Amino acid sequence: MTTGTGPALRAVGLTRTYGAGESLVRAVDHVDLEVPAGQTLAVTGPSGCGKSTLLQLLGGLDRPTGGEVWLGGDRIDHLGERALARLRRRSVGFVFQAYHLMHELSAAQNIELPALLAGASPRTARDRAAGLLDRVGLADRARHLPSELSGGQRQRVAIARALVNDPLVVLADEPTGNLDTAATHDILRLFGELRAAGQTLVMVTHDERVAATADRILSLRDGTVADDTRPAAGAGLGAMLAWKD
Amino acid sequence: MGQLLAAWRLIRRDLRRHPGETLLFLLAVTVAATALTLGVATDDAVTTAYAKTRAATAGPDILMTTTDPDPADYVERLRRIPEVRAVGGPFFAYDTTVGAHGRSVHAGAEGRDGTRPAVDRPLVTSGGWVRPGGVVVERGFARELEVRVGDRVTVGGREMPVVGTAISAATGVYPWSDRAQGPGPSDWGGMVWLTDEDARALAGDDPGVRLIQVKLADPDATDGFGDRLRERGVVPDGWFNVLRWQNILRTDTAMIQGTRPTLVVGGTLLAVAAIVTLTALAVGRTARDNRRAALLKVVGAGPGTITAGLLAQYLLLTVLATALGLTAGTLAAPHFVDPSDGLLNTASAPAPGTVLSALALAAAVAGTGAIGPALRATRFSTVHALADPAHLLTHHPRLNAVTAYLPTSLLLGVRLLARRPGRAVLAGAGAAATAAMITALLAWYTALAAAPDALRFGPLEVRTDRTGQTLLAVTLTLVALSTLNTVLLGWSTAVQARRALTISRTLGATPGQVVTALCVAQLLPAVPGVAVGMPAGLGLYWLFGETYTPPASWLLAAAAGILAAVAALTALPAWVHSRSPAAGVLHSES
Repeated sequence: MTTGTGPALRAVGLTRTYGAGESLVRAVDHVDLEVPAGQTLAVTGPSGCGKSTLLQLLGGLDRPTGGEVWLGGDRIDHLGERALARLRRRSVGFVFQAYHLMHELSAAQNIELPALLAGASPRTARDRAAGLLDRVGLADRARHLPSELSGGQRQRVAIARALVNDPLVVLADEPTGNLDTAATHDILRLFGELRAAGQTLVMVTHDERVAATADRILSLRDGTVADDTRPAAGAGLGAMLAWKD
Repeated sequence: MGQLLAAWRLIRRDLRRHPGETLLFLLAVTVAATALTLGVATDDAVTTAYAKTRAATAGPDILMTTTDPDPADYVERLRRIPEVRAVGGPFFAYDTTVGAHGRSVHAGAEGRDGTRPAVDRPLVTSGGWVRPGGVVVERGFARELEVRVGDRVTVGGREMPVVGTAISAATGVYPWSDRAQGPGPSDWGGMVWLTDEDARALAGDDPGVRLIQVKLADPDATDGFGDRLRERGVVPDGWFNVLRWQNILRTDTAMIQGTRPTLVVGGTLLAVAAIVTLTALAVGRTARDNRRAALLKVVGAGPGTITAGLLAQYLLLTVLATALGLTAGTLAAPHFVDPSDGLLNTASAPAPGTVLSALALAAAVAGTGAIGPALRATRFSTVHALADPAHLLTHHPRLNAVTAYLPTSLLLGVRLLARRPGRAVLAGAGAAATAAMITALLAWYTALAAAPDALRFGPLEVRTDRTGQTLLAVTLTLVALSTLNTVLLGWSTAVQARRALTISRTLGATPGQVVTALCVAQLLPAVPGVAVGMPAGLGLYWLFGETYTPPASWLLAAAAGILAAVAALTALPAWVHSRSPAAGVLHSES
């Protein structure tokens, strides 16, 4: 791993293509990006513009065809699977639209899992999970299986799981895509709390109102950055709270 | 510690979440391990049992029978030969009949007294040793006569109480244990012991024979011993029969000449069926294992952790099942491979080779189950694994063009088959194994019907019955496992083809056509399986048995029965799946 200093996340000429020749598809095309620590970045754009692919490349879930990805000053695009696994364990928390919880584990056990994999003792993992469940308002659902939770509750468990190893950055892919208005509001409130606590957050969303809660909005089109804006004053968490109804 | 806990949680939850699958997995590996244990046990079971019996009864290396009424001189001369370590006898014996429960069976009656000879000391297994007016029946013979201590039998017409049962290594197992026969053709029969006085009294005018047992300094130096005695003039030129312990062992081994190939070949076919079960389960698990690996990668598990977790789960199950199989095989072995009750049984700890073979089987099964998902987790994108549980669809434009002319059910069935060629191979292999075993069973019944009465009735019936029971047991086990496999394969086909078949239904295919399509997908590979399995079964039977061919009508009926069973067993899961409303299925799969 190449070590340096700089923003929490940085992409330089990041490219991801599929296929070859006439059927070549440029999902992400030479994207340059810097996300300072503590910033909430929303990535928006129409379906198929490369939002999710960009997020996966930033989190080391997918490998770029070209360009560089830097996480907390460390270059990660050339790392092997083992090193990427260690990186995901310690520095990245993922939140997905489909939650991707382990069906067979309880809410608390799902949250404990990354901590245990990172080498935490069972007691430490249990304590951390209990604290996070309390933080996301699910202390009374610790023993429930994902199938016994609502969509919003599952997503809150997924967020708690993403936070259990105190990651450098949380990457959320359409975190409210499957949720109703009330659950969306709960999740955005939680993200607001994370931002207030200085957590770097990158979320992909196609919902402009959700994007408006971020510090910064990156619009993609055909794999390239079409726009990079900061919402007007009064947006951000305030916008989210105003959007409540 | 934390990683171990995480792995244990995942394993335990997965097992609890899929108990049926876990049980099937255990069952398949247990059957395979049992078959392996039995197969290996046949190699030396009789040798081991005979060796144990020889050791327990001071069994002779050489058994000599003479019609000379007073061979005391020969015995003295024998004792002086350097290569002879000990001599037992001479014991008077004569040929008679023993009756019980309305049956009368040929037998040798040997006279003994209360002293313990240096060679051949029969081991009393129940009751006591001979006493005046009482008879001790050889244990295998007692079982055949269905008599126990306290029952009454007739010896040469005189009724006597059974005072004990015993075993001896100085004679072959029933029905080859009548060692009191003199010159001329010998007959099958059993063995009893009486007091010397009773034996001589019951023999009356019958001169009988004298039995002399010899223990050599080198038990393996039996070859040519009789000739050497004659050359040195130790024994006279008259009738003097010399039997080596190796001859007796060979006779005992002949008792399982039918069961041994049945267990070896049947065990191999059972292993094939078990592999079909395991592979079918693994195919069903693949999507789930891939997804689980992807989920673990997302939360930071590396390839090593994923592989270790999968391997641990498979190892846990296979080691447990292997232990069960070894135990079951070891306990069952005496019933299948012991030639008779006439020997000490072989129910002892499995040999190191057997344990190693079974462990190798467990490691192979665990490794095969874990390696696929582990490799995929390393090589393929986590994103794709999360998005789609890795259904590798194949495109066959030419096949699609050809099948377009077929009726709907056949069209769907053939295309389903082409999409899953591996499953077709499994279905074919399962059908072939079943057909082979059933054909062998039919060939055995055909041979039995044509066999002379001597093999079907009388003393040799014991061996024939034993072979038939073993063959039937192996066949029934195989049929049961194949039934399970057919349901399993039908079910997984129905589950994995649910979306495609539901789309077909939205386009106008009826539930009946969908059910028929799934049956076609199972039947098409079963047909060549049966076509290959039947001649293979016949060939195997001819290889180990006699060249008898069952009537064509039997074979045709068996083939039709197997195929009908495949169709019926597939139709059930197919029918269950075709009942779900199309909209619901499409929604849940989107």
